[in-house]
Amino acid sequence: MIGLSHYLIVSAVLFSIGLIGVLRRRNLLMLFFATEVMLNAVNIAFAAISHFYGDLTGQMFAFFVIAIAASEVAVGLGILIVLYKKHGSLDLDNLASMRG
Amino acid sequence: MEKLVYIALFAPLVSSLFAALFGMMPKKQFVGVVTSILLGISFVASAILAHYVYTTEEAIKVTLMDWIGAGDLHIPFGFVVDQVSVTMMTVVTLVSTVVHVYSNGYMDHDKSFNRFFSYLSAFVFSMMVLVMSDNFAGLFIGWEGVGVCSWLLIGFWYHKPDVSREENPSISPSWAANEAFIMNRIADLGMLVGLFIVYWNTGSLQYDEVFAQLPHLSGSVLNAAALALFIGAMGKSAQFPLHTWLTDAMEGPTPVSALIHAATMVTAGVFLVIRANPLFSMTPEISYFIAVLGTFVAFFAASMALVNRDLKRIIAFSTLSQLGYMFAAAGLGAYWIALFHLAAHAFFKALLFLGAGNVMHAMDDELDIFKMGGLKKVMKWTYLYMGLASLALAGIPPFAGFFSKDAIIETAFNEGTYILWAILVVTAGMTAFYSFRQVFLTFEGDERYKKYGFHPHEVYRYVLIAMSPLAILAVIAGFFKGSFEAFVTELLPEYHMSEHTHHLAWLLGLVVLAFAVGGIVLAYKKYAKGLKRDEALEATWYYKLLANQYYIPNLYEEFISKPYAMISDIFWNRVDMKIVDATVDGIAKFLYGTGDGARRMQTGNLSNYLNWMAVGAVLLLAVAAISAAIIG
Amino acid sequence: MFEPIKVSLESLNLVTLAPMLAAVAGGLLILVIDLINGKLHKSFYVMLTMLILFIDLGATLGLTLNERGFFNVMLEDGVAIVSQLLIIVASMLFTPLALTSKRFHEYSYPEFFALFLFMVAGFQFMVASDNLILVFVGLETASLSLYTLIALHNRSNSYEAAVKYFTMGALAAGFFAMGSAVLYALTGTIELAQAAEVLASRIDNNALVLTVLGSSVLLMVAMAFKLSLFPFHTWAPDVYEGASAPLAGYMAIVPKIAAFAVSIRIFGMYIDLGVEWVREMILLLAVVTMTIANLMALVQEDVKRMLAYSSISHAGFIMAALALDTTEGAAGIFLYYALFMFTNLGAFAMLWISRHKVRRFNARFDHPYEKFAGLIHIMPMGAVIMALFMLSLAGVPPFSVFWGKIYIMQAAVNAGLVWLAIVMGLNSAISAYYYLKLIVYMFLKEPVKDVDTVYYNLSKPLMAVIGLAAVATVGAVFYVEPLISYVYFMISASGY
Repeated sequence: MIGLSHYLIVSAVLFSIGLIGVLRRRNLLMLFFATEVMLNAVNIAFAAISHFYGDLTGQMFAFFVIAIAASEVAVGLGILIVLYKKHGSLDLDNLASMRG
Repeated sequence: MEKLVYIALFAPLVSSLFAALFGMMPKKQFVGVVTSILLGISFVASAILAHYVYTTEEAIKVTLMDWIGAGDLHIPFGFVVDQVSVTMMTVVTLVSTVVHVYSNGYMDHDKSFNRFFSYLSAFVFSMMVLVMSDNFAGLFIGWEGVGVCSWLLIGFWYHKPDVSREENPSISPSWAANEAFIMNRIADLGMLVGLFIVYWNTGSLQYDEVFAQLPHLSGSVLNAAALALFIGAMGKSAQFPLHTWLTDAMEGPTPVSALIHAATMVTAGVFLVIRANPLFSMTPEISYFIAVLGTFVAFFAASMALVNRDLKRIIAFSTLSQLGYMFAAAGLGAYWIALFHLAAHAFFKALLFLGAGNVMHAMDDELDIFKMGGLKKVMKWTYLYMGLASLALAGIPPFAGFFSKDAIIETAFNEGTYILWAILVVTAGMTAFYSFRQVFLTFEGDERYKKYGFHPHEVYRYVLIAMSPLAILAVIAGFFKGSFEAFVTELLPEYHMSEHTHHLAWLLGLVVLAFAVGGIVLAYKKYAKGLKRDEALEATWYYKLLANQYYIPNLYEEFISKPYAMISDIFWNRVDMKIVDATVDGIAKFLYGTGDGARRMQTGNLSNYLNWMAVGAVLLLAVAAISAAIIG
Repeated sequence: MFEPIKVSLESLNLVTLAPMLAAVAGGLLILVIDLINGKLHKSFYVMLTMLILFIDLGATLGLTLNERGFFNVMLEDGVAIVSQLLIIVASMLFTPLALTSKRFHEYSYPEFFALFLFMVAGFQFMVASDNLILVFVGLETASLSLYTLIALHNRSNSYEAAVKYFTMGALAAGFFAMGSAVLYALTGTIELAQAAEVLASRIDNNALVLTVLGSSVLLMVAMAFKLSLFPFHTWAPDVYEGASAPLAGYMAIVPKIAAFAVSIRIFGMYIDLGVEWVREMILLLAVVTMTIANLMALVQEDVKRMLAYSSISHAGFIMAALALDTTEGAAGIFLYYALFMFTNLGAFAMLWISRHKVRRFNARFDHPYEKFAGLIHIMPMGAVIMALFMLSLAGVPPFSVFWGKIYIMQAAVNAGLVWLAIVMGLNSAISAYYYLKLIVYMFLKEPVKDVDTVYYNLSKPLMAVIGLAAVATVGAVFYVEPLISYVYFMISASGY
């Protein structure tokens, strides 16, 4: 029988994968994907816990997270497009004109 | 009546702020006019208040606001208008108004015209706070306020370089300003100590509360408080040995000398002694010391004035000398006589200074009276004014100085201090001599100024008219002696001559008069026909001693300033640079190094930043886990 | 399965929503006006924005203390009202800075003002709720708008700044969501008030320590990112440098006020429940942040970056007040920002007037210290006012920030943390160095020759804002006492 802990473990693993993606990836687009993975890991956790408690708030939270993830993508891609127009690349190693 | 109190007090402040608005701008004539009018308003208010107090015989008390309320220390910012303060207010505002009008003419060509009026009015405001306050704290605020304004005004021409003179050490206005400020700071320390002693022992700084507590205090406490307060008074009123700043303060513009260094600020010390008379009358030893010191300074300063050649410095020495007279009277317990002499002196000394200002103006700021002479032809009115003022100063009846000074000398006799009496009588003769030496050398005799290429001319008519109230008062002020006595002894202790003195009064007066007339006659014989320099006399040691102000400025330079500079130098080079600075530098270098090191984390690379976040999260988790394990 | 839900209008208590609704409706109104007539001048939008902010301010002032509304999701307690007032006032100071004498790209878009108002609404939602969903939504609304506002300042550096801020923000959002999920798993609710009750009964269960640990650390990372605490501050200097000066000044204040309001609710709950290591974490973050940021500010060559590090350091300073978990500490946070707000916005506005439209001062920096050398000769009044701001930031009495510092230090002493007050004092002393450095440049150095140091971006509205900021900075001594008692009353009324 698959219980709450299984879902939570999946969620934690997904979250870690996303986090590692954020830390290791060099392409900004991939980085964004990785943050999406993290948010979706959170969604799994919320859905599972919500079911466990028989309480709807968790699912509501999950829906809001989905909405926020979508708007994040919209804004993020917008910024990426202007950045690409200006720099011609999405490699974040090229993105260090301000430092110190 | 309360409104009038506020008008009298704040009109000068408004005036100062108004002038300050235009402080940085080129000369605006209306600034001078508006400030003069505001000061006039303040004077009128003071005069009405004086009349009110005179008729109703009651003091007006107002509390502006609770000023300091820290724990048990509670100092309301209050003012009192009683017989003593209203006298001071009237004198201060009258002289101030005249000086403001006068300055319109005197500072005519100065490019900092507006700034000058701002400072001058600020001074009057501070002085009003000083005299009107009903507590020692307010008095001290005003005390410091006039000090600052005096500093600003002495150093008004701060851009002038050092000027060497034959007989004086080389000084500049800014140097003189600093000297005055520093000397006063030293004395103010004494004043502060006095205030602390008073507060410590009585738990209050309000005059009436403090004075009510005095009988419960021990003699040593009273002596200490009186002495400390008097040290403060010595600084402000330039008593020996803190007197050198006053003559050097003559570097400031002449209206400033007239207002601050003759009529008002320097009398603040006398005012303090008069104000705190319950304290001083309970400490006979200190009072006697004050009287002796005052007498000494009267003689000491007069002796230096005998040979000085600088028009303004002679008057400054005479101011010192007259302050000595006031202290002598206050020290002998004749407080109302001291106050009377203070008021009378304010009128004729301000007049004398303003006259000297006219002469300076005419002579392109030349001050050496040996280079003048015969000015009466071109400066008739100024001659008249200065002559009147000098007669008053010399104590010739029926001029103001006769009544006030004679009363002081009589007091010295009455108290049985015959030595003081003798010195004061001799000093009266010296006063007459140097006053008229100056007047005759300036206005009579051969016209030496032509040799030096000066083209003197009389000042503006309105300036002369503005001076006339002072001239009139210098003549008639003495007639009000009786009513003045009745007025102020409502508050101050009465002082009566004994039967014995009373009988001898006419004789004593005659002796003083003989000395005074003798001095004038001597001056006339020596100088009225023109200057004949007596080389033999000028070469004598005593002449040189007097001309060099007993070498006291040099003494201070050698034994105070130079060793102080030396010690400072040692502390700077040995202690500060080698130990303190090195330590500080070391710390700074370390901090800088750490900053540079920490800065390296800011690579600008986003990936590194994200990693830092992850590292931070792990670190936080570790910290939380460890402290959870420790705390349990 | 589910009963149909009946909702009466009264139970919604829409008044509690009125301030945010005003801002959101205002933003939409601006978009509609732009659709109808696309040629309106920016000053119209500035005025309209100011008007909307005024309505917002009025609605906030009209709130009843400690009201709940909208399905009990909204919570208008003292913390919410005070922080909303601060947010709105800071926004009102910020808006007129658009009216520079030179035209800047971003202000010609009406969308700028619409986004700005949405951001304000987002921050208001964030502070006026103890429901983590609404906090999260508000946080993201505000952040997404802010990223866009930064990028609108059409410069290569601004894009870089926006991307950096965005990416790190997305990561922080992930942490926040995960933290909420863990808390939800722990308590079965995401309303902090209820969570506290549940937690109180479960806190002694040792098996749950790991979840308590996880939730608090995850949430702490998210908040520490928003508050730019070391080592989550790395975005701040770059973003401040890339953003326009007014926006940088704004970012140093408003997002942090909102984040502090949320932090008080979340971490105050943990500390109240006796989770001592949350306090330890906060103290550590606070001390490290204020010290390291100070040291890094010391070695900066650019005034704007220096100010960025200085505001990080100030945030660390204020974070220490959070650890106290006393009413005084919480009041100190808002008092500090109320006082810091004017000085900081004023200082950034001074940078703004020295901004050239296209040209940079040198290849790397826009506002290096050299640019301000001899400012006293070029613009005496400006130099004096800038010096006032610097002295205030350094905590010199009697200027505004001094009172904030002294209040928080006193609160630390009262809470028994004397060593913390000493660290704060030492840090203030270090910080004086780099503020005074600017004063030295302005007053004692000769202007740089052959370089264009024009200060021509000045206009009447900017002068008004800077003048107001200067007056508020200098006159703090006159209003600080009523301010303290008001803030203290509001905070204590909401039970912190």
